[in-house]
Amino acid sequence: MPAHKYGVTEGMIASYGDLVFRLSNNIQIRRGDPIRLKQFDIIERERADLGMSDEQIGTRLGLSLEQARTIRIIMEHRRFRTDHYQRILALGAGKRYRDERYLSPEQRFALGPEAQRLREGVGFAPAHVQRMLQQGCWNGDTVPRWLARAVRETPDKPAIIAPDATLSYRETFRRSERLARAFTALGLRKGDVIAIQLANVPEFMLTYFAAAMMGAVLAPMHMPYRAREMAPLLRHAKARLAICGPAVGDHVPAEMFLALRKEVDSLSHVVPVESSSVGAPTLQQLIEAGPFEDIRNPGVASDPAILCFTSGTSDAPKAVVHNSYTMLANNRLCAPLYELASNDILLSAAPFTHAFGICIINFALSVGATQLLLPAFRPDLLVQTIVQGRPTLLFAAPAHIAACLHAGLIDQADLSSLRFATISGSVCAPQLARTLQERMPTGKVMQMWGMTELFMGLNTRPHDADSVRFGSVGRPTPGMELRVVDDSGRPAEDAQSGELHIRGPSVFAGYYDNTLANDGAFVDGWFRTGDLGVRDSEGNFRITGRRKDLINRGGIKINPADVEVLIDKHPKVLQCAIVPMPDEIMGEKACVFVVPRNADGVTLAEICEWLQSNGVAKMKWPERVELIDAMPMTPTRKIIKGLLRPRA
Amino acid sequence: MKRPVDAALAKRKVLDYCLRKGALCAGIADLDAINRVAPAGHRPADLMPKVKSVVSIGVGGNTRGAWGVSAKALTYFGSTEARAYKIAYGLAFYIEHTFGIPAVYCPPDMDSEAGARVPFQSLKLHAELAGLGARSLAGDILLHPEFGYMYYASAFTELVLAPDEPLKENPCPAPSCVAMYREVGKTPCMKFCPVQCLSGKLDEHGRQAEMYYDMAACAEMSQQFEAMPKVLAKAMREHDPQDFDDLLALESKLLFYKLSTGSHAMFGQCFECMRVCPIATKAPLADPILRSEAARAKPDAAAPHK
Repeated sequence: MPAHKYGVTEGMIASYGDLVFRLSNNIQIRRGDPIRLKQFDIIERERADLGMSDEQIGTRLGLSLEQARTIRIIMEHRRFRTDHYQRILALGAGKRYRDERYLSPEQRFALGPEAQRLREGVGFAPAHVQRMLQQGCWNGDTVPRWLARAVRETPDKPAIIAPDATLSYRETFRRSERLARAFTALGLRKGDVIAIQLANVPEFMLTYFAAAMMGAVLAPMHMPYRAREMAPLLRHAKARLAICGPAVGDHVPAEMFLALRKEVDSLSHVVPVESSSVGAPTLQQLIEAGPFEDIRNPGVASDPAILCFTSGTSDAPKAVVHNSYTMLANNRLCAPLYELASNDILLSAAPFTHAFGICIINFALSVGATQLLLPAFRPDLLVQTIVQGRPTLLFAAPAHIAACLHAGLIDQADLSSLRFATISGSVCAPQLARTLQERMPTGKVMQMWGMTELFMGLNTRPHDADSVRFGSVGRPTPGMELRVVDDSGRPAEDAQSGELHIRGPSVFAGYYDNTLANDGAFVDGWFRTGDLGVRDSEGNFRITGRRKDLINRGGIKINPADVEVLIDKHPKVLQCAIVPMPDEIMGEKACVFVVPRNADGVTLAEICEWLQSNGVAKMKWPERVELIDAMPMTPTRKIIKGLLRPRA
Repeated sequence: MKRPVDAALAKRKVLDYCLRKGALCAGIADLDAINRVAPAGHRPADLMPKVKSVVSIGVGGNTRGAWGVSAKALTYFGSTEARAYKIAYGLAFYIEHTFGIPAVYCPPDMDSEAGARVPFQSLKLHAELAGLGARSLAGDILLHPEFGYMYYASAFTELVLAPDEPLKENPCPAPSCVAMYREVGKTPCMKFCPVQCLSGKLDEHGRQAEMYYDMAACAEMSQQFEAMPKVLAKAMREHDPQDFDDLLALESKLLFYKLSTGSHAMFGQCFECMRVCPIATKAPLADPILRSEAARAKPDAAAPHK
């Protein structure tokens, strides 16, 4: 019967509703034990608290039975919540409800709008997801899962060896887990971004593991970056927490990050590794003293795990989001190629703030091996770390090796511990690779090609001939497919240069929140890498340059990479880079930026004469020279041509 | 045609029947007391005008192992009430066949006039007055010192049977619960209730001084008869197709199941207050097998009615 038939109005519900509800059985208060003791006078006296029938309520309030009943039922209906059953879903089998700890599923599992957008950043085509999972290229592996496995199997084995500390896997897990719970207590949840600007120190790895445990997304920031570079990156990533290192001279990172909070709305916490003038709790304090809160929604493999900004050799940095599928596939599939085992010790000369460095952390973790840390690259420190730490695998960029060789540090160094030295990051001159291998008594030089967008795309294999390992970047890593595409977009023949397109298990889904960058980044599911290369008849690839570095001279496209290699060998040249300069007639011409070896510099005529003597066609000669003191370099020791082009 | 009946023998036969059929205990509730406590419209005579006696039957709940299972599985362990109803149903026939006197099985259902929270009769009141349990701090759930936590059913009859007395002592709170209350101000049932619908006070002797029960909150958790119409009504007002689907739980394909049980979300009961109750989980004779063994061990107690 509708309420109005009994004369029940909204006004009556407002007037009587709460009182009727309170008098009914919905709220019961019993004092003593009057029914068992048959204390009927007390029962009558306390009827209102024990709970009254509708008739009794009506009599008491001056309502008809039907009115009292209707009002009660309407109140019950309006107050009734349908989702309370969720409170028992996690209970039982030893778990009890704790009111102070309870979070509804919405509170526990819901992603904030920014986290949701990040998820969309790893939104692959459904067919791709199915194929990768069915083929076993992707699985449920995560960094915490690998870490936990190592803790189970070899708890006391060193996970991290730093100059001043060694952490076992057990201790590494303990600290990481406490840090994850501390981050949770600070209010961070799955999908929140943690920016980190640290050298290759244990705290970087602990933060990385902690973020993975709680499903946060780690956003490494390159060490040279200061407030001007950092602000747009933090804003783009919507970073909520920043981890930073100790003061370096006048530069106090914690102060910088705290100041950046005015420009970056999302940034709510700054955690320095060491105590500073700003007084914020340090990372160590969080680990040891908390506060702590349980991790309610740990990360899983399909969650975004890391947000890297591309190294920016060609353009403004772009954000790349990887989940554990794409981030760990390479490591799991390639570990057998490197014959990785838990007794290996890995050393990365590349910074952990770069995808290359992250890849090396994951390599060690994938087999429960040890990570030997070189906090920051310096030629003498790298060689010293190799000699004293005796790594079995070294990962470095050509520039790292070149610097050590140039300083004469490797000739006398004991490199006998090295099984492999893997060179990656930029094009490696074959002679550099050969020279390094000659210094390794038993080890081999390997090469690897990769990008932030795809981690490892190509690598040489241990049993490849020297010529392959020195002169190429090898073949596609397991599960990856590469093609060389000519200017017209058709697959190129062997030995014909063209742009490398790639697809496979570690290729990202697209640039995060950057429509412009994504425009044309993929063709039919293939990622256009922008790198130029050739494939030989045996399937080995050689990188020949960058598409954006091509100089379009009157319609003829000139790849400056080979020319740069020759100019670098000029006795008066320490380092060079060729970029296009605008020309009214030809459209573009080549301009070479040179860091001279000495104060005498070098002239354009001397360079051209040098190129002529080396048989280089005249159309490839640079037509202007600019002398500079130092090249703008990325943290991974690549020249940032994008900064040179405006000056050409 | 009614036959002459020996009241004492009749009572013994009635209670023996219940125990033979699987009840842990049975007893006769004081009809006058029921009438003084139950409100008009919910007294035995409202169901059976010439009722003379109310037989209350208690049936055991869970095995000890059951108390360790997950909460959502435990919700399905409560189907023992069906056994109690079955015994009461059979008892009504038994009385009529044996004594030629009318009897009815008391339906445990809700009074359709009064909505989803008001039963025809309070089976709990019958059981308490019949001495099958005493009101606990866990929302007045009855507890018995030997049989623990039970489900109850009732049968009414025009047969005159001598009433039993309520329990002399209330087993709730147990000594361990008193100790916990002294320490943290809550008994286990209060502390671990998922909707925090319980609170209360103990006196200086560790006895119940006050029991507070938010039955509305408990109903939201454990007696979700009202959920389905609310969800349907909300869904009909919903314009977003995804929200509509979510409300009707289409993705989990449970709509029919939930409709059939009259519950949107949980088909069953929340047992968390009983799971942490030492009386419910450790009652010495809660297990029917143990009860039988105890009965065999004590010839005098061969037919314990409670």
